[in-house]
Amino acid sequence: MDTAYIVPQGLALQGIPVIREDVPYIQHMLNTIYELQTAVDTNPEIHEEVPMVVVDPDVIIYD
Amino acid sequence: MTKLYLMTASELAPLIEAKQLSPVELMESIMNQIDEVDPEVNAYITILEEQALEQARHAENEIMNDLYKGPLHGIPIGIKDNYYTKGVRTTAGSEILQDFVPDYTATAVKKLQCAGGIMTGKLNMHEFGGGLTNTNPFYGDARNPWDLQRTPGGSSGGSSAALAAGLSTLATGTDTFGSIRVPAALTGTYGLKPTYGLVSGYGVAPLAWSMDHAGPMARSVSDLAIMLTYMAGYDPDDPGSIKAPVPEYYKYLNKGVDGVKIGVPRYFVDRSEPEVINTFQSALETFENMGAEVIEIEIPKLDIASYAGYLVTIGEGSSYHYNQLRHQPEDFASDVRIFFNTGTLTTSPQYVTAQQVRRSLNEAFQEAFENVDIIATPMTPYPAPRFKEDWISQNQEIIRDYMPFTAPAAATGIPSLAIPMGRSSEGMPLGMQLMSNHLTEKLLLQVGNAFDHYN
Repeated sequence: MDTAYIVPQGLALQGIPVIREDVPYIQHMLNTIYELQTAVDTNPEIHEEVPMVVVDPDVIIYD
Repeated sequence: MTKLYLMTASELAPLIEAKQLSPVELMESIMNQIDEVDPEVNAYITILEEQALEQARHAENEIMNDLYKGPLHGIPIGIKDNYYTKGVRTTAGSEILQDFVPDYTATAVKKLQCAGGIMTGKLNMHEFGGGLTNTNPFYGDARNPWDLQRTPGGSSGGSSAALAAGLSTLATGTDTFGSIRVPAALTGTYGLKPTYGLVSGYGVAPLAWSMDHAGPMARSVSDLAIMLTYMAGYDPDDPGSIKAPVPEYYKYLNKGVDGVKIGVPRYFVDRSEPEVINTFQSALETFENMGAEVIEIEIPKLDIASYAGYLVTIGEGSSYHYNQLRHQPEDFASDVRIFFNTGTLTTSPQYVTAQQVRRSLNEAFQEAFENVDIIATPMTPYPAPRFKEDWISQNQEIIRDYMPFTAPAAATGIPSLAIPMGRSSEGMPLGMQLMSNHLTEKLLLQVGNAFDHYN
């Protein structure tokens, strides 16, 4: 994925000032996330799960 | 005899109760140590010497008049600077909040103070919790007392450094993707990330609401148990707070580990450096010698936990700071701005997938806990590294390397305890992680305490 293009464009579209020195670091972090996504993609059943939400009684077990 | 400033609350409390030790004498010992050592360690952003000594004198009067409140009465406690403290500046490690003085106190702090704990000051941290190194361009880096050229971990690096150097008896921390447990492991101290919602987050500056955990840090498991007893409990002001019984954890510590089943997933061992693995194997043998059953287990989907850790943290974090990122981005530390700006470039489907990953992972852990009581892992894959010149890259590297160890408990909300397990060849502390099922802190602390006392 061409993160070099995505980073400045994506920030600018949201009205976030682009600080040039930051761009390679943001690219690096996005690449880390893309790598992690491959593990998620090998478990397609995950997309059938009900997402956890901030206030969610299912997070814990009451016993 | 151990110096007062290095003694644990469990050792000090009986002396204070018996009127053999004055809280004033204890606080003076801590303040002298702060004067001597903190200029190098930089654990504090704000030191409250006069206020703390005044409160120590007040505690002394109460105790001399037979009004002893319990094991926290007169005990010095450092407060991480993202806990709101009424009338005391609260920066969250950020220049943005350099003049912020809250008009109320975080519930967890209020509870500690009601139990007689005395705030020594506000502790250094990685800005807004957005890193694991505690580099801080605004208030200076917190440094590891074992080697000042190394990180004390973050984001609760001021808390861990203060405990390791004797600059407070107890400390508070917060943990979203390891910020209590990593600093504890890197400094040879102790930290507990409790079950999500067990300790109120009301009045704590958020990083990522759905994974933020407030919790205790200390120099022994028994001290964590004392702190948790007073910090925990339902708080209607926190939507994530849970209604659950809060036992007096410190009264149930001496049951040992006989018959306790400890599961060890290979996943974590495979990602650790050899000396960490060797020390961890010795720790497991210790558990076996104490009567525990150690079993190798497999937990599926551990490799997707980091995805949830990243996406939830940067997604929710960038949402909280969105306005500031758009209008005054230069006010953030560079590494934290980069962290949050990356969050603005992730997508809604990715965020929701991360929350689906959390449920899936929770199911995997629930299955694991049908067969074992405790899951043990190294806490970090390697000991505290030296600070690097490129501190932005270093923060990213450490997050990437440590996240597989910290994210599973953070994402599932299960309790996780970090305790020391040995030293590296260079003499740096190595930590072990013990996890248990939701709301089983009593068992978790009991197992940790058994290990603590055996060594």
